[in-house]
Amino acid sequence: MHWTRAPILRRIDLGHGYFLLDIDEPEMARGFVAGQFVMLHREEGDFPLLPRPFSACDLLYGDRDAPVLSPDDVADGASRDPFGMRLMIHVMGKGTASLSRMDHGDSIEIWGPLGNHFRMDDAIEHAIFIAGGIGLAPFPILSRHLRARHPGLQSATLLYGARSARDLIYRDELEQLGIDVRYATDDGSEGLHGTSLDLLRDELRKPGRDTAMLYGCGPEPMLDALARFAVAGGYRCEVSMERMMGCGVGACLACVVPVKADYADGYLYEKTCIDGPVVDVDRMFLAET
Amino acid sequence: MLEVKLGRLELRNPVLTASGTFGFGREFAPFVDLQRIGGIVTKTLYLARRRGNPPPRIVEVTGGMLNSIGLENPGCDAFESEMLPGLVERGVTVVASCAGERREDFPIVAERVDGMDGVAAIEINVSCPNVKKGGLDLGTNPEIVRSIVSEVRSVTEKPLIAKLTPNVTDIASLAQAAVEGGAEMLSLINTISAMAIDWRSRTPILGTGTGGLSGPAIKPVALRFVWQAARAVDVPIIGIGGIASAEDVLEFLVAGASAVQVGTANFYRPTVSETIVDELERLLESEKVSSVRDLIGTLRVEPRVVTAR
Ligand SMILES: Cc1cc2nc3c(=O)[nH]c(=O)nc-3n(C[C@H](O)[C@H](O)[C@H](O)COP(=O)(O)OP(=O)(O)OC[C@H]3O[C@@H](n4cnc5c(N)ncnc54)[C@H](O)[C@@H]3O)c2cc1C
Ligand SMILES: Cc1cc2nc3c(=O)[nH]c(=O)nc-3n(C[C@H](O)[C@H](O)[C@H](O)COP(=O)(O)O)c2cc1C
Ligand code: FES
Repeated sequence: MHWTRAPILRRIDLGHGYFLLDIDEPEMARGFVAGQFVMLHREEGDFPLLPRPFSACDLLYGDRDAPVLSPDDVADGASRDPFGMRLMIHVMGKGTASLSRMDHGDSIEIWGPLGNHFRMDDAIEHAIFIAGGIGLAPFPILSRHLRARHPGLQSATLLYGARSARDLIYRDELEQLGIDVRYATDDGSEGLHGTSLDLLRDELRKPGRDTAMLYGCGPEPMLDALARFAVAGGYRCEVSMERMMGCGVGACLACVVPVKADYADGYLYEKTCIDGPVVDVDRMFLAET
Repeated sequence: MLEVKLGRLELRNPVLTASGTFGFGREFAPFVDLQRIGGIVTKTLYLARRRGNPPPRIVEVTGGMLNSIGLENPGCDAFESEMLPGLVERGVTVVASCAGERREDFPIVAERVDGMDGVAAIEINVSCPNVKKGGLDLGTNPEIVRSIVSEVRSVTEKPLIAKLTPNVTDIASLAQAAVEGGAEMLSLINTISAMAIDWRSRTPILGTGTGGLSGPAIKPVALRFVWQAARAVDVPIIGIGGIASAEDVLEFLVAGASAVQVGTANFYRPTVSETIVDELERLLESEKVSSVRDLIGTLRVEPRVVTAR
């Protein structure tokens, strides 16, 4: 983990407020594990003041001018280590809007890799990624890491829900991950008319899926529903939490989530930035509804 | 060139990190050589662990941020066994910030911390705007501040700092009360009571309604408070509020501070405390100032002639 000023290689506009930022930072990229994140801060004028957290969605390999997303695709003789990270960003407010105006030639203050990572082990036979909106971000890298490092994995499926067809992004890259990808939209303009959770109920009917490992990332209400569903059904499930963060390193105590604990009312706060962002749903404190 | 003496507390340089903005130091070990900074002030400790306020706990505003953390902290036992040893091993100067749920708790916490060898000084936080008992902000009342400080004074031999709130109209009498109570140093300012509103939902943005403002926006306010406090009392002052560069540090020293604490800037530039020390050295050299001590309290306030056009 370290802090630096890193060059931005390119910004790729995906339309409708979505864009990718490729960042040249070999040391940080080499240490990255799926689920971890970085903090970004624009040095100019300190506006906005506080840094913002972003997951790495992919690592960059090979040629800086024409990077590939997997070490298997680099030219013979070239390094199989990543030289940078790709961030996938959705414009939400002033911080992300200011980042969307950055491009090749700019540099950015960045620190990471931060936080814990998704569980990956040889016992996982079926992996199901449940993404809502920009919650897609950590799954390309997770899918690649799982498939490369755990040959016992029999299937991996991405269930990707968004508001509308135009909010389904990064599709060419997703199709090339070599996993099953299924879509859902709130307005029915593409894939299932419903949510990624509806896709999940369907997916779990397939043989062997009762022992599947579920991974969720997306808006809080979706994660809450997923957690309740997984706990009730006895599924193994981890979710990546989104929280307002002030520092990303465990100092400001802004980013807390309640987890079960032997304390008044049965919970204590844990820091999303260092104890998370990934939490096992069995540890989550789900308030009675 | 950078060494300063604050009464019995000697620091290798005047740059400390502010309570609640630097964790327990170890959070910043990947970014900063902790030995190079003047010292760290811990997150405010209570005797027992405290859960703190419900989120959302921070919000960004123009030039700063509001927080309503509510003094979440691990308690004295965990601090002593898990956090302090690593700092002592690294040779870090540690100032323990202490407070309590009720008035009576302040000396209990201070006595507990008094027994910890690795703690160089105690800062009593009589100024947190985020914990109020029955709507009463203890730290705004000079009488209460005097008695809390003197109760703490009677249980500890360690150098004692009283951290003051800016949420008062008369800082001079508050500063004098703290000194009469036995404070050897004063630090100021804590955050300024403030609010952010989402008009569409007609709700405050912070979970607690109000919170404390910090960051570059409060620097001019903090400078004014430090200047006034320095004129009111004879003890060393530690300036806090919006500091993010060596130039900022020197402004506070000129205003009358003998040292400073860097707060919110640690969040947006985790390396800042150490780079300020580097910058200070370079700045003094280029200005041919042989010691930072030569700048303390050198503000000249001369009447200016106003010419009418
Ligand atoms: C670990 C982690 C990883 C993340 N990864 C990505 C990613 O890969 N791509 C991406 O686009 N976004 C990601 N986010 C969310 C991203 O950090 C926020 O969208 C961003 O900080 C918003 O900043 P802003 O200034 O544009 O919005 P603001 O003006 O600060 O806020 C706009 C709106 O967004 C909400 N908001 C602000 N910050 C957050 C936050 N951290 N989480 C949830 N809601 C927030 C506010 O309440 C407000 O309603 C991640 C967040 C976390 C905690
Ligand atoms: C998130 C946050 C938490 C804080 N927690 C404490 C605390 O526990 N005890 C304390 O005395 N001051 C606390 N403070 C106040 C700071 O120590 C400092 O006095 C204030 O932020 C002003 O300095 P700054 O503008 O450099 O941040 C906190 C400030 C922030 C922003
Ligand atoms: S973001 Fe500051 S503690 Fe987690």
